[in-house]
Amino acid sequence: MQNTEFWTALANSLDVAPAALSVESALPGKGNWESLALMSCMSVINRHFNITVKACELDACSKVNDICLLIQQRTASN
Amino acid sequence: MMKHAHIKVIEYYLPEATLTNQQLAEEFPEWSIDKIEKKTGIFKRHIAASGEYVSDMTIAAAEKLFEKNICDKSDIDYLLLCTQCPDHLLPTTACIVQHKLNLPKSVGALDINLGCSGFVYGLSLAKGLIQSNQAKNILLITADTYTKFINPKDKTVRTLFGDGAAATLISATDESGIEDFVFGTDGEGAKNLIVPLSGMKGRNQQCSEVGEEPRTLNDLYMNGPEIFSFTLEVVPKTFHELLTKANCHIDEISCFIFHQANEYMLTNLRDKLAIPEDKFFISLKNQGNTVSSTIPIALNQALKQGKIQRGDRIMLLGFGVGYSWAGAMLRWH
Repeated sequence: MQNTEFWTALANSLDVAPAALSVESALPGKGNWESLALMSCMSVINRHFNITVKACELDACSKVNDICLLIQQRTASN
Repeated sequence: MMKHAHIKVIEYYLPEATLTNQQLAEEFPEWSIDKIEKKTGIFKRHIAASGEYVSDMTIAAAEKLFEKNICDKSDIDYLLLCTQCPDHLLPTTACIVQHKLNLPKSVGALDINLGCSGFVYGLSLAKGLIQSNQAKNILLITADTYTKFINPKDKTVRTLFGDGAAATLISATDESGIEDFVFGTDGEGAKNLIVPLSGMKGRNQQCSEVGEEPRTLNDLYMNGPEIFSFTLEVVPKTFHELLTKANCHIDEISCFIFHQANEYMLTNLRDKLAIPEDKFFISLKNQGNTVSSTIPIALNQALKQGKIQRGDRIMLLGFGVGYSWAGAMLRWH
């Protein structure tokens, strides 16, 4: 995931500074996402990779790296 | 024989009582007025009175339409009532409305149970009735009182939904008005926007609490993020299918009116589809999401604001509960 624009947008959707975001950054965790953050994150992924992830898939991610893996899996299968 | 159908007039009715962001912020101090506005684009919603039902709102909207003197009640030969909040499961609310509105006994009347896509489906049925020479003047009403399904403690849905009704007259004409349609359905999403005990299923169920959630099984449940995911997937596809079917380029469309779910969703879709901001009509601020009435209310407001001129092409797109979706192309007369 070297896409700087995506990384910045993802950080904004998670309400953290882009420099503070890493693949090891923890996500809110199952059932703890704020709905707007979840939708914002889905929107960022959709805009940058033209794939749609389900809310339950994002909800299951515990680290940013899980989001990256989800995107890789989805783009590979498209 | 006039073989085309067009929209002749639209009027709408909103109940008197309102729920403002200030009232919501006072009730839920963890939310600010700014946060609610930013999240939804809504400033207030209208709430049907405790004794006010869909038949009452339908009649109020229809009477406003007849006051325009564009059509007499005796000219109506079909009544389509789209609602998910009927006065009763039986009889059909459209029958009650025929009587209360004093429409001729010769009218056909039926209810359609659809939500956010309902207005577009209603236009499609009206066009079919006209083209098959079964009717000439159809009164299409959309009306819902979702707020009666909402648990007062459920702040998420309370911020979004308002009650309202719209009355649309669709008549036979020589000029093409209501043109192409595309449709879609995916019942897998039924669980994401539902009032679980609103019908016969589970009717005798005793315990209706849902864990720690601020609702019972008699209340509206909405999984907002899943519905957002559905719209991101379905709306762009439907948009492009409709353009192709209508053999139309995005630049040829003067006004885009989508189901007014919430501003966050709408601006995301607008940006993704590269629709110019001045052609994408948003009308949520003063009434919120009125379910099947959002599109006709927005159409009425776009007309009043001069956003639509004679000869303009308009795209309508409804999507939501079901999941159900539909798009329509109009040419305005």
